[in-house]
Amino acid sequence: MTIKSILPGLIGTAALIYTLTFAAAQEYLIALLAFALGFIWLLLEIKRLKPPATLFFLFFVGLAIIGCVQDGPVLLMLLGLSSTLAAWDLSRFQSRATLDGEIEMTAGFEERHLRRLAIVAGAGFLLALLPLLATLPMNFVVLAVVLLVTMSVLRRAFLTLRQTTPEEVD
Amino acid sequence: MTSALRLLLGLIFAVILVGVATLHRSVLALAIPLLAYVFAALLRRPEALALDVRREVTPDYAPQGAPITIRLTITNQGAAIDELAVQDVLPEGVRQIDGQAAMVTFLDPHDQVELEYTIAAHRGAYDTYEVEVAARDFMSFFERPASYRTTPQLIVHPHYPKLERIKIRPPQTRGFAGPIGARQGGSGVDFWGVREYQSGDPQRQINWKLAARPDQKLYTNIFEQERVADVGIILDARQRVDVVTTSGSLFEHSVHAAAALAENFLEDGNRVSLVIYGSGMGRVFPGYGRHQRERILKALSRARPGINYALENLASLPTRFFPAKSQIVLVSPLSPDDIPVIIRMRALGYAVMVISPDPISYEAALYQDFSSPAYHLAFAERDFMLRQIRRSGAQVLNWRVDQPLQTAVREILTRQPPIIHVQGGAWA
Repeated sequence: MTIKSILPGLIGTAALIYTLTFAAAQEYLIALLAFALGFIWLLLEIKRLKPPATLFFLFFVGLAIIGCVQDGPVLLMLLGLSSTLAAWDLSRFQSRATLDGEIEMTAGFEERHLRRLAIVAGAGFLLALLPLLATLPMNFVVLAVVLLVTMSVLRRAFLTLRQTTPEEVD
Repeated sequence: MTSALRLLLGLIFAVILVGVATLHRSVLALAIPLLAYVFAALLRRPEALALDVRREVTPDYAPQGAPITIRLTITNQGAAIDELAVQDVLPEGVRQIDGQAAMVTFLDPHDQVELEYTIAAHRGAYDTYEVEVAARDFMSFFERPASYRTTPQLIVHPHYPKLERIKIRPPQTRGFAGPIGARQGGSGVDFWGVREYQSGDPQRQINWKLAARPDQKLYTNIFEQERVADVGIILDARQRVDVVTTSGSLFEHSVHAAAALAENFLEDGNRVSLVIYGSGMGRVFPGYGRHQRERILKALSRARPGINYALENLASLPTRFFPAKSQIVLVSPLSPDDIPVIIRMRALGYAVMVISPDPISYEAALYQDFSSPAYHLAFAERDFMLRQIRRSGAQVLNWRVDQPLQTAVREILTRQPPIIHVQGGAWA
């Protein structure tokens, strides 16, 4: 299995999930949009035309949010989101590792990345299922405070991780 | 922190805000896979790089245009690197012809990766090379770039054509056998004179025509000794006489000519020295043979036209650097104020040969302009200048660089130079 075969599969899976989900909810316009953009992204990836993968990723995340807000099947939305996230990562990986149209990677590098991505995506999906399966009674205010604190901590943590200047070594 | 990470963080915040605003637990759950992704990148963030970079250049001394193999070995002496992008930066004047000079890979501790590719380079000395690396986590959210400098030396010397033997005749020669007439009698090929017969002289050298005289004395033919000589090559590297066009520069032709001449004279066993006169005065002291050729080619590899106001004309040439009455070969496009210097060299007793790449025809060829009044005027001026130099007794080759040097040399310089008699003795 290589990126060339997995990436189209992931894009196809995400586009299909959102198309069918929104079609079932009779949101035909959104379904059509999901199908069309998924098809375009797939085509650009197959032809290696350097697609704006980030835009497609944001669109599909937006679809996942809309689906959840409209009380759509959360499991499918999570699956679609995980597929989109993995597709976005692989698209970026492919563009990083490609120089002048040719992949210039060492042997085993691709498999290693796929393995790690599978672990992270799978773990994220399962972790996201937990709060949906276990119901905890919680005051909304407490919940909002917890979330805002989490966001603040995250922000501070990443402000300390600014990119360093290039090192020059003789 | 890359822009992709910033985007993802912004997305996580947006999802959480929407979840809180709409009071939908499922929307909040969408943030979890994104958070998991970010935390995985955080855990695999690259640490400070500890890479050992070694470069091998084979061969490290090559003629211009010859293929040269570069092997770059990178060893990881630090923590594991999920993704390492390596780009070997080619110096100016070098072009890649085969292999790969860039790579993306992973490196565990003590692992090693090799890049091998082939280049061709212009004439020059290449001392410093840079390798740009970037270590990233496997999602490329964190990047740690670094630049490594390696210093194996590569010298690319000018390629030069093989010339036919150039006949020179300096007033003074050295004590070793060679191809140049020494103006002394002894063993040789060219007839020099006669002397009285002495017992032990070979019979075949007896001059029987003189022996037929009534005085009944015998005379022996003697021949001119052939020896090696001192040859000083001066390469004019003044920027003001150089002509630079889109297709190259006249100076490159001068360098190739100097290399070909040095090879030619050294092959005959002569002692050859070199002065590169331009932004400074580069010198290669006189020497013989293969090692001297390498020294001269290395000096020519580094030669560049330059400006030095103290060396604007040839008057500052250190003629004392050249042994008295030796052969001087000046490779220069020439300018009118060089004429007195050449005449002075002749007056000091040097035999002078001028190989002058023609700047007029070189520039005219660029514009295909051989019929304009400006071209004819410039041509006439140059012709007049060269005649003045020839009148001083110097050999002059006006070399149109579109013509191979071998052809130009064969037509003019492979004939014996004329002996010009002046008051007080014979000069050549």
